[in-house]
Amino acid sequence: MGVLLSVLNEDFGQILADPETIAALATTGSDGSVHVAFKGSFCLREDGNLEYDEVIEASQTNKNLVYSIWFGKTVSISFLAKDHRSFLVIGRPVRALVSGREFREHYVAIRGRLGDVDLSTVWIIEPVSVCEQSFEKRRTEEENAHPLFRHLDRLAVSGSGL
Amino acid sequence: MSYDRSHTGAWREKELSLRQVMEKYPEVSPFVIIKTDAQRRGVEYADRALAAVDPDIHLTKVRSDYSNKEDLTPVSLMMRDGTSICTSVDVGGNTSSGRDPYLVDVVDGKVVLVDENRVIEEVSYWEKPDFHEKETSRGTPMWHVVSVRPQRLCIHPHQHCDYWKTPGHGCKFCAMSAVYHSGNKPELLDVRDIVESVAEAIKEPGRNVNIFLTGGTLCGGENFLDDEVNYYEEILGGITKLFGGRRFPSQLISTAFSFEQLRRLYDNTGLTSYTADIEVLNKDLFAWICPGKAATIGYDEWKERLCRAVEIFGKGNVNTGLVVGVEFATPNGFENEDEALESILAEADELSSCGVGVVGCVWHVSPVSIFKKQISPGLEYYVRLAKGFDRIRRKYGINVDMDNYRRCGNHPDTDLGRI
Repeated sequence: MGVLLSVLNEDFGQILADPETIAALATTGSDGSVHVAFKGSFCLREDGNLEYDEVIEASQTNKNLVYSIWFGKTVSISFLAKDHRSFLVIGRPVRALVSGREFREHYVAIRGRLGDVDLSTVWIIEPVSVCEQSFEKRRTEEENAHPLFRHLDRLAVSGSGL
Repeated sequence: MSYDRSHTGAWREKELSLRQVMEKYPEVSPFVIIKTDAQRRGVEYADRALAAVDPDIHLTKVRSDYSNKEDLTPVSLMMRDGTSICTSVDVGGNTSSGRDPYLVDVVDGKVVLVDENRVIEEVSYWEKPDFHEKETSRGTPMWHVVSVRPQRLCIHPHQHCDYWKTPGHGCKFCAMSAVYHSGNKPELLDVRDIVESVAEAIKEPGRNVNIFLTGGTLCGGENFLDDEVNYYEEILGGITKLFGGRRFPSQLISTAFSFEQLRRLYDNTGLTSYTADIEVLNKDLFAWICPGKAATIGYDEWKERLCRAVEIFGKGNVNTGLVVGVEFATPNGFENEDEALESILAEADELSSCGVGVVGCVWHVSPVSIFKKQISPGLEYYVRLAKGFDRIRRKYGINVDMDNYRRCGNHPDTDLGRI
């Protein structure tokens, strides 16, 4: 968790707080289908967990998050920052806040931000792995890790005379 | 399996353990299974758990139809997934459920459920609403008038029951009359107190999602039960004004009213859903366990009234509750779990085909009820029945919005509807 936390704490919180960051939450339900939805309310908590405000009680995302916390399944969240860096967080839902003081703070805040909406659940998601998935970073990493995974024309020396 | 009715301390050897049930039913939420067992067996609090209670934050005082407490034990618990545990406190390890209760303790800084020295799951205490310590204009403490669950306002206007006033007519599992006589509660709540308390309670942002009313039967009136209908109509009418005359998320659990009585209630108030608890789905057992209901309305008529209520409130807005487990009460109850399941699920299917949902409450044997020496069934039975009710509701497309984990929280089977 130490490495995870350091990755998350460096500038990840700022990326999450940036309204131009795009987040896609992928969950699975009891039938095994993958559901992906773009979400706009992820935050990084002081303990290194993520929190996410689910507005719609009966949404497929919410059902799948319940399924995940019930049966110990993970979810995937992809973040795309405005500078085109991207991050993938694999996480495990560990708590669903549906009432109480903390829930109320979120309820008031999201209504302040979005107007007359409801709030179903504040989901607390514990990251189990984090990696940066920005294209150049990932391409470099993979070519270093798998030097055989490339077409020969990229390696051929032009003007060799043969 | 045949059910062992002995009251020895060796109950663990005679039924599947929590762990075994969770392993046998991996498709059922472990949270729901734990909740079911905690409600079945009850809980007691370790000193460390009581030290973690902050009466300024946590809900400790409650006055309702079945409760009247002012001590500093938490009213109840919530799990990490938002599931409420509506549990009873067995002070001093009272084994009224026939088994020893779970222990609520603090381990590694977390409040947890413990059984046989093993941490089972983290829990938290229900929190207190803003209105709780306020008083009405008549000086009545609002918590005397409106009790709460984490997301629900509960009003119990008639805190006694007319069936208990006729010898032999009280429901045999019911503690309402004993609780009433042991305390200082008024029999009837003042309507102004109720409306003022609700008006104050609904100011709190993000707290309440449902207003719930239930109480004991009031038999009198021009027609049978008119007094009860009139009382609810007056209360609901006052509350409806708080919502500008519009319908609002609400549930009434009452005696089974006639079609005309229900129509009046629906037309004149903002009530959205209706429940009339049949308690046990078996005609002979109903007559034995609920003699007052059987003598004044009858089993078949009770069912008929539920089905007709769907014409008024719509499918998904009418249901009936069972006290799951009383069907095994001796000497007249089922002796075999398979037979009980088959019979009860068949009747639940029949009711559901009319659009009536069937929901179960876990029977925690009350030490002040007629059935105080009875013992509830094993955990596995509750899980099997909850699965059955969930399957039937899905078959008939009956949603559980009116009585789900947020709006009630007392039914393991409706918890299963979350996914």
